[in-house]
Amino acid sequence: MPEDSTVLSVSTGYLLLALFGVMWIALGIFWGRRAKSLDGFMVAGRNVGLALGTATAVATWITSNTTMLAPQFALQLGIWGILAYSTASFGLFLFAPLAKRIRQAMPHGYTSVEFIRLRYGQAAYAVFLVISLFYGLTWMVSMGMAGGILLEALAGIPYAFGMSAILLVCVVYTLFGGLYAVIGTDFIQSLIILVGIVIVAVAILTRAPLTEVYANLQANRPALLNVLFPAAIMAVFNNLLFGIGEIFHSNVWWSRAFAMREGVGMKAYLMAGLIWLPIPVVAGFLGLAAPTIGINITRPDTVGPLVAANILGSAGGVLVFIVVFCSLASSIDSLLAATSDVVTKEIIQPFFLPNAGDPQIRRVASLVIVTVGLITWGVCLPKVGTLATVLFFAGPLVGSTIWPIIAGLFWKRANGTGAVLAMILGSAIGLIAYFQIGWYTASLIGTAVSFLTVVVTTLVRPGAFDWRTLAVEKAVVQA
Amino acid sequence: MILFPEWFFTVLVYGGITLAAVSGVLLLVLLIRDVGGKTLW
Repeated sequence: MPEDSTVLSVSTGYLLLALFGVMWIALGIFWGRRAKSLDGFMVAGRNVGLALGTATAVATWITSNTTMLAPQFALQLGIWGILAYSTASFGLFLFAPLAKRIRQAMPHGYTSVEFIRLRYGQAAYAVFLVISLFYGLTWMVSMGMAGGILLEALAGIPYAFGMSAILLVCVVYTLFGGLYAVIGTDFIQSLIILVGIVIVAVAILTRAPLTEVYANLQANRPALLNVLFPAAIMAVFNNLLFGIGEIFHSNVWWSRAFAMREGVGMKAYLMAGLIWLPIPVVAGFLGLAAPTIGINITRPDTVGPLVAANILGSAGGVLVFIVVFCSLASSIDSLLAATSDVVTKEIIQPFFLPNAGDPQIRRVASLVIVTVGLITWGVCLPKVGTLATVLFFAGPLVGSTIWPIIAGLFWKRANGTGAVLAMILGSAIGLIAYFQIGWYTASLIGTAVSFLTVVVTTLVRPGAFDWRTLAVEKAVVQA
Repeated sequence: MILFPEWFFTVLVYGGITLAAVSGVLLLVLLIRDVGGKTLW
């Protein structure tokens, strides 16, 4: 991309990349001093307080997709697009009681996959593991690609270099500090994102008052203000369920539930939902303001950052660059740590190192972080597919896990056969809907099928699960 | 075509910006409380 079409000079872009990269790595090493033991590295000592617990949930859920896709949603689906994206906060709200239950039921737990294995058995473990790893890699790839695309759009940094640099920084500080580093940096990153997005929004209001934005939309794009926009209304329910599915099943959120001190998880997730809620609203506003400001939109997935940079000039470019870097890092680091935990504890330890002690597993976890980072880098490099396609392909898969998890945590009669069928049927039929009807129906249909399957199989063949099974210490799968 | 009224749009955007600003302050208050109470980690 030629430099004159960007909002930052290449040298400024490289400078910011280097500054923030060094800062996150330094902080990772600083906090990493605490991460000597396996519990310290994987679940931050299981004693995280409310401030850090809340901020880490917020920062992790503010992904680059929030800053890039929310404006795109608004531009394509209007006000319903903004509302649809903000419903992803319901995942945090609804996970709050689950976090409390998870912490109480599994005081020695490490991963969501471990829960499925103990609760439903080996078949469910295998299906859930595939979904978890597919989703984790998809999420990381979408953010690695987003990072490369954004750095190129904002500063003209070549895609391959920008994407590689962001992944490298995250791998290095997660490697040194484990979940301690992830949670510590998340606090700073969430504050930077909140401050940055408020500054950008206020600046836009000075250039494009709301009355003008509304009048422009009314005159030129009334569909974006349409109360009855069928595809957009479907997107609300789809996004809501996609968000819930993402949070309920992913070890990113379970590892935080394990890491928070007893009694903190529920409050932290409720507050995180409230704090996250306005982010896509404000980011979506950037998309709706774009036509009023007169920006020529050639790439909808970069409309938000380009609007901000257009309004604030170089300072806006710097601000957006920092906010996006924080959004990316706060999520990529979490995924690296959470995915590494799953691979280490649920694949490598039981099948290859059944007699290994905690120090050895701690070292293996570090190697896995590097490997996961390399795999993500390899998939990101060819830059295949649009962001939305990559992201929403996982929707029906994670949607199909919602009910097996809820029932597994609260309904002792739910059984393993039902959980397996629910995940397979929900994923398969949801994917058919994705291709035959549209992406905005996939999670909705996948979740509905999963729900019916769990309820019917439980009523037909009720089980009698002993909750004490979940509390067992150092439980590993039998290879 | 029924459109979202302007007041709804205004409340949505201003509400979002206000809530985001208040959230930043809330995080700082929580941090100070946890540091003071030695309950950070």
